Amino acid sequence: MSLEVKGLYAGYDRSLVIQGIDAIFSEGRVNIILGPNGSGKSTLLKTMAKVLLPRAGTIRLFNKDLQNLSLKEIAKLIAYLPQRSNNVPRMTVFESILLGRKPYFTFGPGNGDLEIVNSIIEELKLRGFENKFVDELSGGELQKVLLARCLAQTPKVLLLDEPINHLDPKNQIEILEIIKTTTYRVNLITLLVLHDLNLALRYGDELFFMKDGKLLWKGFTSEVISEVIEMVFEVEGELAEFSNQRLFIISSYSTPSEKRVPKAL
Amino acid sequence: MSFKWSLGLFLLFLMILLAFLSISYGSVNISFLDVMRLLFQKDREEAYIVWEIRLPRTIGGILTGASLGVSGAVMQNVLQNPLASPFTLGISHGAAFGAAFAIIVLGAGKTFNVGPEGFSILQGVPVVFSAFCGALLTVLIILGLSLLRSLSPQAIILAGVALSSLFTSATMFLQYFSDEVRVASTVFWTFGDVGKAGWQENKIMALTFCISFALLWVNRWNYNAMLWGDETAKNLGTNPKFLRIFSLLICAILTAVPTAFLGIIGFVGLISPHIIRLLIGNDYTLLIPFSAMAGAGLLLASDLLARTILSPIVLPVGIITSFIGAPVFLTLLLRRNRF
Ligand SMILES: Nc1ncnc2c1ncn2[C@@H]1O[C@H](COP(=O)(O)OP(=O)(O)OP(=O)(O)O)[C@@H](O)[C@H]1O
Ligand SMILES: [Mg+2]
Repeated sequence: MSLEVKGLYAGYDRSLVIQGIDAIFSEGRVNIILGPNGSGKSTLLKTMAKVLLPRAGTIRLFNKDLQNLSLKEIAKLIAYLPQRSNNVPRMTVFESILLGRKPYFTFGPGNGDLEIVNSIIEELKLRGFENKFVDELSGGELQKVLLARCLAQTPKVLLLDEPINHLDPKNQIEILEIIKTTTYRVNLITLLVLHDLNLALRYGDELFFMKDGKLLWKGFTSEVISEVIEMVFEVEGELAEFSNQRLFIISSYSTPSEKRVPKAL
Repeated sequence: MSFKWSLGLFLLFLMILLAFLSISYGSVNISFLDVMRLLFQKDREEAYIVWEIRLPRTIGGILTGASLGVSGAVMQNVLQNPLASPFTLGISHGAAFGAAFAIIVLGAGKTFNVGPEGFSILQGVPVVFSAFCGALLTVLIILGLSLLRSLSPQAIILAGVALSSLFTSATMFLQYFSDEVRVASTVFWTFGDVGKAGWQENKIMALTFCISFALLWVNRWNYNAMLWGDETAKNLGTNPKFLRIFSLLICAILTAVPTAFLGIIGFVGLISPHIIRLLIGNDYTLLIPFSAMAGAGLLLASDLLARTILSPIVLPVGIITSFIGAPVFLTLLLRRNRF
């Protein structure tokens, strides 16, 4: 059971961003997408959430083509956290999380829905925040609420675009731990876009490196070599081991003229 | 939870109280008790005033206010703009042009003064029909454009502004080549007045309101999803483009009907949702019905004021709503109430 992307091309009115991506994202794994700014990570996620329609290629979830699923069916299967939330309405935390249950409503929220929301509030340590207005939260608190809503959708796939970009170090780890344990417990297909290489090395089961709309390298985290990172991000550095943890340490960055193409690839 | 329920009850109570006041106040004052009695005894002399003048006026006010309030709440949502109102899409200008066209070009409509309340009838079927068509035409043009080119909410609003000015100039063009009486009646048509509401009008308005309200109410959770922007809404199973077009079409009809019958009544649709939002936030499951009650209450109160402020002169309620609406709205803006 997996999420399969085949020959995917996608983009916007005037630009083709995703240029031929093939990948398989497996269940029960934290898949992390890495790549420089503008490489198309967010566009890929939007396409997989069916927020953006592909120009060509297919996306299959559990062997069903996303194209044949309605938005409501997709909402029950795939939860998507956008990189930016431009619209933050005046609404309480509880109401905002409850909205994640909307795809399941017939008339309105039932007791089951309230239970799910309450258990997620508990899990994300949002107790005490329920009646606060979301437009009065700090960036990190808001991010937690949005993640809570994604979890409230009880999805099979979690697409999170930079879910920890507003959080302090402790909260970053806390959120990533929650994502990891939920992924393993419910057997989710989780895709994370992260910019922090070291957190990716620590939490990722599989890594996917993107550049210029293409997938340059994919594989298990333990298999990644420093040349991959150097080429994708145009930096120089090395992978080191420190208290049982692999880290990538940048020594210098290359200017565009001296770009290297490593033989290893 | 309980605050929201008590607010609902309060609004309902306020609306009923204002309705009673509206029936009992006027050039002939009728006491509350008498109103109650006359509602059941149609044979007494004052029963005519209650049944043929005050009651239609009051019910017309409730229906119009509720229609405008609901439209405002929904349009502000789907156009993602707190300044959107039932007239944003150029509905009022379209209706005014339609009325002017019927009065000036087709020669329809006359002015009478009838009864002790001194209300005026100047519509006649052609004027109402033409105003309705004008209002709907504007909206259909904009929705057509947005379907062709998939316009953003902001672009839809700008298209409304452009069409409004087009219809304003078309109206002025007609007026320029017309005589004084007809120009006067077109200008007079634009003053929204609940006194124009009779039983027949109310029946049509009630039908429009009930159907539209049901269709919009069904989508209450979709509106809650829309508050977070199109991308999030989509991921929650809402189709933003479809919802936008569907809702605007319903709101257009919901606004065009009372506007065609009564004329232009500004600000009620803009303000009612904001007042409710200030009190309970943005939850559309409550915002839709509460905005309806707030709109109805606001219009009844304005109409009471319109009838008493320069008594025995009865002002058109449209003047009052704009007059008190503008300062109320400015206050809201200064309080930096977020959408
Ligand atoms: N809504 C849009 N309309 C048009 N072009 C867009 C849009 N969003 C992104 N792009 C373009 O698509 C390309 C890829 O953008 P995308 O947001 O997918 O990058 P990203 O990998 O997520 O970058 P970042 O790390 O900065 O978030 C960029 O060149 C960008 O200019
Ligand atoms: Mg991005």
